[in-house]
This record gives sequence, C-alpha cells and structure tokens, in this order.
Amino acid sequence: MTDDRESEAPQHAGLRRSLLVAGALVVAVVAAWAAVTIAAPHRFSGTVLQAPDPAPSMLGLMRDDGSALDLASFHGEVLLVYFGYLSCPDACPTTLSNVASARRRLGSTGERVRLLMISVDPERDSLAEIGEYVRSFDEGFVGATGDHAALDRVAAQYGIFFARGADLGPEYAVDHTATLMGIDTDGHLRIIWPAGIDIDRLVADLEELL
Amino acid sequence: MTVSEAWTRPSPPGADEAAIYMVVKNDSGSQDRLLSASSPSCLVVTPHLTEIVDGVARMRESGLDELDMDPGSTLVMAPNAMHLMCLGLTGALEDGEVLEIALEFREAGTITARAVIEHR
Repeated sequence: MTDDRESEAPQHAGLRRSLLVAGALVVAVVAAWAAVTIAAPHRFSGTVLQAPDPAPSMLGLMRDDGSALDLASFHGEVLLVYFGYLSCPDACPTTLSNVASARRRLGSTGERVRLLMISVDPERDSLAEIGEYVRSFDEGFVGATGDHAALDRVAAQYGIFFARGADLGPEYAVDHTATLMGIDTDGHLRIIWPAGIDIDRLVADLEELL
Repeated sequence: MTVSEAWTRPSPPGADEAAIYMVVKNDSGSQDRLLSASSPSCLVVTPHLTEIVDGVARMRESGLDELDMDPGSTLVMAPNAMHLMCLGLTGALEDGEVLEIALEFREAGTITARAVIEHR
C-alpha cells in the first residue's frame, strides 16, 4: 500500500507537466493559425486593379430585357463581366458554367453575384437569344449587346479585343479576349481573371469581394 | 486505342454546335492519326483547337500534325484546348443523356465512344 502511494505521486507530477506542455502547444498552434488566417491578406487569382473611378459606363448597350444597360443597377452586387458570343462552343460555356458553379457553391451570398455576358456578335445574337442562353446556365445571369459602334467603344474602355475569326463550315468563330472581369459592390473594376479561371479560385476571390 | 472520359455539356437553347471532350490514348505499339469523327447528333464533327494567346481565345481547325499520335501518347481533349466540334446539332443535348460519337483512326480503325451529357 505504502509503496503504491509513493509511486503515484511522481506519476501525477509527470502528468501535470505533460498537460501543461500540451496546453502550451495548443495555445501556440491556435495563435499561429490566427496569425496566418487573420493577418495574411487574401491572395487573389487575378490581377487586382486600384481604380479610383467607377467602372467605365456601358450606356449604349442594351440588356436582354430591352432596357438600357446601366451599371448603377448592379450596385451592392459583385458583377462579373464577360465578353463572348453564343455560337462559341468551348471558351464561353466553360466560363459561364464555372461562374454558375461558383455562384451555387457560395450559397445564399452567391445571390449577390451576377454575371453579365456581352455578346460581341450582334449580327447573329439577338437580345432575346442572349437572355435565354445565359439563363440556361443560371437564372441570375444577364445578357447584353449593342450595335458595333457601342460595342467598340465599351470593349475599348475595358481593354477587350474582338474580331471575326476563322471560318468554321458555314459559320465563323469570333476571336475575343476571354478574361473575366469583376466589378465590386461599389461599382469599381477590381479584378481581371485570366481565361479559364477555375471554380475553387473564383469562389475564394468572390468570398473576399462580397 | 482507348477513348475514355468522353463528355459534353447540355446544349444551351438555340445552340447549333457543341464541344465534345475526351481522353484518347494510343496504347498500341504503332504511330496513328485521328482522321475524322462523326456522330448521329451532328451534321459534321471537326477536330478544333481553342488557343488562348494574350488573353484572347481563338478557335481554329486542328492541323493534321496535331492529330498524330505516337505510340503510348495521349490526346487530351478538354475545355479551352483541343476538342471535337459538333457542327449542326440535330437536336438538343439533354442533361443526363448520352451522345454517340465514332472516331476514325488510320491504323486502329473506328472506335466508338459514348459522351456523357452533363453540366460541369
């Protein structure tokens, strides 16, 4: 009996030391995690712009419901702008599908993310067709286009190139800058994502912008 | 010659074309070449290439040399890269259905694949 009690005491002291060490380790790990997640700025997967002025006006273009396209109507939302065309089977649906997936993954906050697809092929794409096309990817998407004078002006202000490309049988391709642009909730152009931005990176960046 | 992971997206309303993606592996011991492709869902199927240069997406028909396959090589057809372009859809591509496609190789002959139609 006596022997047992004597051997218990050092065991308890050892246990206390172990608990203290373990406790200190937990504190250190939590502090390190907090320092990394709280202090480290988010790294965006696109080029971040520091534009002092609001995003260039899109007046002159029409929304798919036939009204004038006014960026002010998207205030409070993150507006993703993509220039493309409907008979584009690869690059455009890939981007629209990725944005639709990102929006779904964001859950209810995703409702404050909009995609605006501007068709640079007004000869073939009517406003009604553009609207039907974008909403087949996501109900929250908006389409727009305009005449060539208006498209040239808006595209130039956003640094977008577009031109008729290769003939594909009876149809033709339209070469176009395939970047995705993000206008923040205050209406400033904030991000240019490279063509083919993947869903995970887009979700992380959108969480930061919202 | 093995064709796997074939898929395409449901066609948006009014779409007359679709891009079909897959992985083609030349597991034979000889040089081969993809000569053509066809599908009952398309009037014409053409190998296409989307190239993104300086942020600009350009699409063109693949050159013959780009369809050459060394023994053991793999041709990855994926978004924003090489794909089979279905021109003249004979009907809408519906989510959950399958598109039949036949690939004609110089050596391996005809290989048929079933492309899953799904949102990705």
